[in-house]
Amino acid sequence: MKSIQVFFIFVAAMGLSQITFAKSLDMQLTMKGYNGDGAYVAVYLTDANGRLVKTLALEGRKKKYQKHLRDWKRAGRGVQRFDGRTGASLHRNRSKSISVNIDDKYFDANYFIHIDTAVEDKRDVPSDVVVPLTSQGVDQAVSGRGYIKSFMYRF
Amino acid sequence: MSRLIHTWLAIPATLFIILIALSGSFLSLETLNEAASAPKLSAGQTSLAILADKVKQDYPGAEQLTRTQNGLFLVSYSNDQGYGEDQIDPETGLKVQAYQRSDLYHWMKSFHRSMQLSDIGRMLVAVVAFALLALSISGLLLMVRRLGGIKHFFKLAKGSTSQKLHIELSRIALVGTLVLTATALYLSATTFSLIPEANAPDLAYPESVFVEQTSFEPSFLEHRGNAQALSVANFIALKEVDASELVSLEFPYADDPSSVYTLETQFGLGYIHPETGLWLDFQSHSSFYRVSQFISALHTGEGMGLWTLFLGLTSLTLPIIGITGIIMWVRKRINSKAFGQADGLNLQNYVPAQEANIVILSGSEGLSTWRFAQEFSQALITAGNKVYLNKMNQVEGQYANATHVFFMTSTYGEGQAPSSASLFLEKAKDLSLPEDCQVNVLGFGDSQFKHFVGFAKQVETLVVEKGFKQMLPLTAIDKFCQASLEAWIDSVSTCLKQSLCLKLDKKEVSPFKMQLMEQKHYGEEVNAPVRILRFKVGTQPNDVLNPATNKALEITSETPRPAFEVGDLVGIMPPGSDFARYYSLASCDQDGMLEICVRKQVEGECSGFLHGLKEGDSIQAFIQKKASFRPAQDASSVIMIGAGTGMAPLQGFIKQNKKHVPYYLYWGGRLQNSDFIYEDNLSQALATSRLTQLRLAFSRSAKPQYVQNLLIDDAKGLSQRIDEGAQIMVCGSKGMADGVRASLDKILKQEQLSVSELEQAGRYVQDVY
Repeated sequence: MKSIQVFFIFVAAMGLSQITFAKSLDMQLTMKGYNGDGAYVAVYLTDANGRLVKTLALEGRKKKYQKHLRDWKRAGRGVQRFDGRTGASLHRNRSKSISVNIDDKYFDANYFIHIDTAVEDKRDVPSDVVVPLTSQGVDQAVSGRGYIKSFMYRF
Repeated sequence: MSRLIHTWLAIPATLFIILIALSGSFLSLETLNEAASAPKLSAGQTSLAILADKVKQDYPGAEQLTRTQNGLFLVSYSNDQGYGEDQIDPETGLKVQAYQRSDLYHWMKSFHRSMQLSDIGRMLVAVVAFALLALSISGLLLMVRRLGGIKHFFKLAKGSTSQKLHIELSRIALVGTLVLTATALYLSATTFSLIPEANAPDLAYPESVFVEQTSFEPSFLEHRGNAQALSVANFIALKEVDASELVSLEFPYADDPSSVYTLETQFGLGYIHPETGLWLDFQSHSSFYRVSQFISALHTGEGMGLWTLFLGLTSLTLPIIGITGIIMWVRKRINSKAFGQADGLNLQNYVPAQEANIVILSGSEGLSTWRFAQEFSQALITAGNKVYLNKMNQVEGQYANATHVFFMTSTYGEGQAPSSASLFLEKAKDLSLPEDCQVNVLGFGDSQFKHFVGFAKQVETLVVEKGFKQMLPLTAIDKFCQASLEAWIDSVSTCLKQSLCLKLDKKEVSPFKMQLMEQKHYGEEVNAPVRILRFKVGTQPNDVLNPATNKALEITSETPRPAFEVGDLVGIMPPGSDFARYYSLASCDQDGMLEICVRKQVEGECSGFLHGLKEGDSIQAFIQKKASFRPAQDASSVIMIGAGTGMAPLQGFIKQNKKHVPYYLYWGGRLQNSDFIYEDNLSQALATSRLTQLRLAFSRSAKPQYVQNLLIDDAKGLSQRIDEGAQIMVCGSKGMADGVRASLDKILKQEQLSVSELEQAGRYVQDVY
């Protein structure tokens, strides 16, 4: 009897530990009123060396255009596996909210959120936005250098 | 089937096709414009190493150097002032202007792809592309059929301005449209992942070249050991690439020691060491990728030179083709609307089918049979009958109160049903009529055609099979001959014991007076008196020998001088007659004379009248145009075949042959010394090369021959000339024309052609009496 209780407690603890080790990261991204078609966007997390840790979101379905998200490609060394659903490209003036669960260890630990953008017939903007993932950064809107008007996150 | 597809696809699709084609031609204009402004860079002129070096000096914050498919060199950069993209001169590396496509371009491109409706729009555009492809193919089939076989694909079209424009432009646009739609469908299919898309080369970014590599890449260590970073201008990897082969070159980040040069060329993708300037890795484009790029370029025309212009022009023709097509369709609708029950004229006088005592069902391809059926119905209504009138296709299972049923029909093509009777034979199998009901079949047609009233005969067969009582035997009306129509109406009146008053439609003509000036006699010796009569037109003599018998033909004082051409017909009514006889004209109005050639028929009312004329006599006449009977402008040569007085218009054409197109005349008469009309004119035409060859056959000579014999003798030459695009003109009696047709069919069989095919293409025209 006791051993069964212990087993359940153990399982519950495992479950809890899963919850405690993952956190929801909510991001809000607004495009500029640029002139052109929908933008391909990659949102991803890198370490201090610029290496890809995890791709958080990918907007733009055609694989052949994804090569224009150049820093993302570079950071991933060609092995960016994105398991989430790829959204449609983001048109100008649109906003997009993204929520992902990521490991607790990435917060306040010298990790960075990068956003690459690319628009057809216009120049690519790799690392349109680069912000550290820190508690100080929460709710701080930053503007991108390319097609992104504002980006902010909270967790 | 092709026609059905062509029409019913075009109606919903035309507007979309026009919009997409116009936006497409705008895009091609932009592409042409950009390609024209692109620097002319010949292969081998500038190596990428030198260009990249210049860019690095001019743009410290350069991120990427690209060459567009149209050949513009662009640098994207970011520096303290911001970021941007400049077009540069590849020879100097200096800025030409900031690069920005116009707002209109982006709008048009998006519209062209999706009509600004994102994914739904993309699907719509794909459907429109498919419709256009189907229209092109069905249109091609229709055109080939209309022109009489694939051999005549390049023949000039005939018809109204809309028809000509529609066909001629379609011919020009065909290749471009097929390519554009097929490539558009390919592009759509890749967008919607229906076919695998050719992935861009996916080559792993090299591992950090300095830090980790030291342990296993000693060669790089060596370079590192040299410590002196090479200038870009000396990069071996870049030196071997010509600037014109560039797709894009990505510069490494200054602050990131692990980043390298990424170079994509037309041939592949690779990475270059930022200090040694050597290839770290390279992968050639797969042939699938290159084919897919090519298909895409075929559609956009980018980097395709004159092909772009061709595509742009093709797109511009599409709206015209669409609009003329719609015009043709609307015209046809207006014409055929008169068939419909919607035709409000006196409709209230008709009664429902089951109440009528007289039922009239009409089958018609054009309008004339239907009009006659309407007039006939009106006459019956006026006489107090309850009349029901409809198309033969609308035949019902029974007509409960009918005492008389009339089927009036024309015939289409080779004995087929006209369009408003196409279902009749099938539907009428179940028709039941009251026991004492009487039926009459009236067939309209042209006795020149082989299957004269062919469909009416099939209707009569059905009437007999069903055991219906026939009021009158099948009556055939040739070319709406008024005399036979009147005779028929008389018989119907007698049968119905009613007097029917029918106003027969008289064609509007403008009659004029003409005075006989000169006449020549031929053929008395062979019992075939022939006269060439020359009239002066528009004189005002005291009296006219054949005064008009009805108002329509009365001459008004301001009657203009008639215009006529060789090959038109002049209508003449002998005194006391109600209908006109027609003679082919041997001269045109510019000759100042109206010339005809008349053979005296046994008991011929009109020919007798004309043979009885003396110089100075005046008669009334009117012109009936016959524009179909002319030598074609585009014919490589003209083969003229005639007998007897059929020579008259033919020699007229020969006289007018100022361009010396090869004309070949085959003519048959009776006896050379007696009825060889126009002998002088012909020998003069031969001398001045207006006539290339003259072959004669005389049926009463020592060696009796008919014109058909001449054709068979010349079979080889004839079929060769027809193959080269000759036109055939036949003029003479019906008997001769039938013989000629049979002989030619025999000759053409080896070419897998037939007279009717030539006829459809307008290459076989006849004037037969």
